[in-house]
Amino acid sequence: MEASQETPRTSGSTPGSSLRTRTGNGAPLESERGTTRIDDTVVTKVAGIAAREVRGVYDLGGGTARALGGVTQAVGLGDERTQGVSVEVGEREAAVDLTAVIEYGESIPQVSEQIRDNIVKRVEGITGLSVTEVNVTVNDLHFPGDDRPPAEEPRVS
Amino acid sequence: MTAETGVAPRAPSRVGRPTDRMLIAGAAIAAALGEAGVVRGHDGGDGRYVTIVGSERLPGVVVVASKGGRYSVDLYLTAELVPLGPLAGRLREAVRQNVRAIGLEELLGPVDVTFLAIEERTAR
Repeated sequence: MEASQETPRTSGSTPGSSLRTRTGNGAPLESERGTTRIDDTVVTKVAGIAAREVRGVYDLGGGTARALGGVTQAVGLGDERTQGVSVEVGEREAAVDLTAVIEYGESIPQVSEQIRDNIVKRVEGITGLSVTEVNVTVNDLHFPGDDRPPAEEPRVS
Repeated sequence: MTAETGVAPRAPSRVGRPTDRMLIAGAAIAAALGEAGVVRGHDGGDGRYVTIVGSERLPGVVVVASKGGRYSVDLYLTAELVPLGPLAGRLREAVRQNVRAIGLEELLGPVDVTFLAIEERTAR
């Protein structure tokens, strides 16, 4: 499948995966004294922050999301920490889908696994939700020279 | 009813005085904002989650009458990057203490906490 070769997708939802057996921090979300709710945007932001903490992650989001994100952030409307992350949150569980750009030279499987581990740790630790799966799509590689502006050719010799 | 007029005497006017609901809202949001890990009350983006007390606007708290003559408190908050379940537990206790301090604890029903946003705090 060509598409999957271009954008490696490493799934955390494999049956029997260790992710399925993990539980949250045990904080009760519902008690007789009241209910605790956590908005999806909170889970999205925690997952985004957790992914960016991993060495080898250059950016999150696809090309369009990053281009639009740059514009919306410039006018104060966007938040780069939620870019490229989508979550599905239930009463006690959450699933995370993430698109990332990885630094060239890093091992994609290793970085993906570290992203998965850190997201599980952070989301479970902060929200108390059990993370059932973290699906990582690597859609680009970043090369060290990509950020440098092209050298200007002298106009006169 | 009075013998002379046959009209029931009017209860003292409450206009301008905060109601029990407003007092509970004020105590609740004050308790929440005093708790470490809470950044601010969240108004829902369009002012949905605001209680008006006189000329004061209290974003992040809604108090509604519920069964048994009690008031349920809904808190809508922006929090720091901290464990939210334990924070919600501390918030409930702080709200209860503040409402007790104004003598309205018997009117307090469940305290629901919703975290609508999160903010990173960078160490100085």
